[in-house]
Amino acid sequence: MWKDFSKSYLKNNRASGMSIMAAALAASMFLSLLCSCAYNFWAYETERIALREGDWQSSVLLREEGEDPSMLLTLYLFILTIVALSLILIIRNSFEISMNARIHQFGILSSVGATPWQIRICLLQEAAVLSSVPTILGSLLGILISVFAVGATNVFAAGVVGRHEAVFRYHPAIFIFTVLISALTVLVSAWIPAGKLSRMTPLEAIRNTGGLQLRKRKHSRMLSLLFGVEGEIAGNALKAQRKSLRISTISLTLSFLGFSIMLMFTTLSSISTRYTYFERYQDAWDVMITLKDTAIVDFHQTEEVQGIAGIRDAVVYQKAEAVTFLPEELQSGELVSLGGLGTVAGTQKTEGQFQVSAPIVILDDTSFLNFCSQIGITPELHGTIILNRIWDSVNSNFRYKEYVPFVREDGKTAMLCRTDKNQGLEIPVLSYTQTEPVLREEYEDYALVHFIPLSVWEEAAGQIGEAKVDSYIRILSDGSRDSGDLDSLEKQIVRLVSQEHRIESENRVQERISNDNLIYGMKMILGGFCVLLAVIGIANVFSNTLGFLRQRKREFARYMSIGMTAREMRKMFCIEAFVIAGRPVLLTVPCTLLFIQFSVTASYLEPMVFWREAPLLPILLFAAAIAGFVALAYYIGGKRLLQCDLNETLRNDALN
Amino acid sequence: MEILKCDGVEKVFGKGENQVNALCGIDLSVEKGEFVAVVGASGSGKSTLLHILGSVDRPTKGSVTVDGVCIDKLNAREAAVFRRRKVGLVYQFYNLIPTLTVEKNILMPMLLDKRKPDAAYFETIVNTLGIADKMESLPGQLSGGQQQRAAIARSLIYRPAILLADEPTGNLDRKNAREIMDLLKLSHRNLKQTIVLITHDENIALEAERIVTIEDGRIVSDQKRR
Repeated sequence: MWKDFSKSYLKNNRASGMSIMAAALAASMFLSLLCSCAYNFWAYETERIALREGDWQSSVLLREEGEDPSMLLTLYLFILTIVALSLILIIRNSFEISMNARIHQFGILSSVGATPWQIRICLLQEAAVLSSVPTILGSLLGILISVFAVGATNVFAAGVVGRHEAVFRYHPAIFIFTVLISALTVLVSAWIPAGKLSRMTPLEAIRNTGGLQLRKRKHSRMLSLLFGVEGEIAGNALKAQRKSLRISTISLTLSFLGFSIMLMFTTLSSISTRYTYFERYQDAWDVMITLKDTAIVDFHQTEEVQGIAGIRDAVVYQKAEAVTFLPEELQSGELVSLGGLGTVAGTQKTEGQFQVSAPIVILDDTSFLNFCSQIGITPELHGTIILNRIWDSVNSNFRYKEYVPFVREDGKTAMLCRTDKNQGLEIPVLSYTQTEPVLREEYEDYALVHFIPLSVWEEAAGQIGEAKVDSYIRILSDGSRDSGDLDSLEKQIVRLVSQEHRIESENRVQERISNDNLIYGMKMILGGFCVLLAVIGIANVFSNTLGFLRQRKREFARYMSIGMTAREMRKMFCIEAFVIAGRPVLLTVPCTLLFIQFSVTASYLEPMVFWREAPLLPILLFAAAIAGFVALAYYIGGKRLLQCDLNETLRNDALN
Repeated sequence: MEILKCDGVEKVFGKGENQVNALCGIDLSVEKGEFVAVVGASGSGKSTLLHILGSVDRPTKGSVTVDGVCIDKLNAREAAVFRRRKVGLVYQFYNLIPTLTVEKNILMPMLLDKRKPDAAYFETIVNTLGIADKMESLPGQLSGGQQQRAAIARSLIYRPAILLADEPTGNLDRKNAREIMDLLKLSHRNLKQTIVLITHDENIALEAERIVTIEDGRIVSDQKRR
């Protein structure tokens, strides 16, 4: 009997079945996409570490680097639960709308002896039948989208130095897991309204209004003021639908907010990178080679590199960490007048001296001699040149830094110690300077940087500092420095150096392109997620408006009976759509403005610099797309409702 | 003065074998200020007649004139505006808008016309109907009798040419039914309101001053009681 009952209902109410099937398809697609992406992310991370450190170390390293697999798994399960719960709410809405339309029927069945359990099982069977094919299809669709997502990531991150290409991976267990989670989601979604319905008494069910109800008196003052009585009715109808529209409200608001803030953030970040990196180091390098795990003393191709045609200048250098101890009286007059190291850098004295970081940059001898000439001293190789400056943090911000001399320039020697203080050595000071050599380096704000030639480093034999593991070659070309020139120059150097050393290379133009691609890729991927979120919201609006015919027929018949015209009813739909699409904008605009205000202030950017590049058009287009889809949903739902015979609803006089 | 006139009104539902002749040549005339009861068994066509008189539905054939307006020629918009200004409809199941307060429900026909209600008249109606203290409630918070009073108040707010009531006591207990009938009579007497009442209950019909009986879509008797 129940089979025939369900069969005939589904046959005669295709729209209702379709909306459930669409909701199940969307839900399983999202879940499958999430599972597949998470698995690929996991596989990629493990593979990355394995490639870097060897397979057996990967799991250990993941833990050491704070990428504890169990933490990642917990995070993933948390996100999965949140998504599954959101989807349950959406699908539940579809089921609820469909089931509400049948309360009267079930009331009759109940009155002739159907038990609540029978009703519940009947509804769950229907849910299972309607959702089985969409669940499988949605899961496959999710896998397909994740294949594209991995491919897109590879395209966008193609230029990132040291990155290995991601390969799409999948495991049959993931598919089974996805299908099970989707099926569970669908069944729970059906279980909730089915339970509610089965608990109704026959009388309640037969008398059920099925229409929108408010528990408390509400006022829609703003809408009433703007649109008159239609505004008030629409506002109250929205309040009565609040539960079923909750997912749309949350998803649309989060997607629009996320999209706006993401675009604002990437714009701000790219302006900042341009100012602090690309424009600042525009003339400091053309090609950079990182000699992996190579000490400068072990690199013997300096002259060969410097002799390559097309190179104007090549510097081989390595960085080392050291400290020096500064008696209070050695501070420069300017620094003292600012309040001394304690005020400017927050450094505390110990035994009458300040311990100051003294990073060492070891330059190849030729480059060191060139640096001597650059700053106007007699070129020689027997001492250090001190970059005598400290950031005046009192009178300038980090974006527009001003410097003052760090120490008095009458010291003839400098004491450099290893950071463990076990050893130290006094070396002659050749000069103090405010000028740094042309390198793509950013130095510490409160450090006394020492530039020393390779020969001094070799003589000191490790007593003055601890060298970092890698060395670098900074190359300036003498060509036009366009992308093609730099690429060929880079290849030439790589060919020469890579025979004996493990290296990573990058060139300025390519790096800019890679950076732009990376930002673009990030925008696409994050934007994609925002779009998916918006799709969830819009799907919910559609599921709601497609249920209008069943849910709101009586409500509109009532409006008609008191003389509301079709035009006034359309106006109501417009107001509802306007509110649904407008709410995310209304919530997002102040939040985004606050974010911009805070970020621009914190990054010391001129507001106009930001606003000139602010991505207003894509944000407006996103808002317009949301508004367009909501309008479409209401157009379809409203049209169906107004086209149906409301007179018949009145004629039946079942307006109970 | 004739306020309502039906001339050869016919209404057919369905086609072919499923065709049902709900109304067959109804001729009816109602004078201003009359209280007419239309009685008939279930399926006799009385509700169909009421919906045609209220411009909710159109006749298949014949013409209907209410307060000088031939309503069977009105388009949907004109019919809606006519309904809100000239007709007060009272249903068995009240048909109040559940999301609006009782006050807003009563004022709805005027609000739709962007007209300010006459405060004194509004007071008179709600006081007469005994729902003055329920203005801020939602329909769902009222009893059936109170909801029906609100529905009557709404139907009277525009001082309609004709009040059409379709089984207004059908969903109420005896006490509330009595009160509702008294209120309808009161509005007929005090406001000179023309009322057409549809009912299958002969006792209720006896409250009217004229009883029209319908059977199988035809008027079979039309009696003035006093």
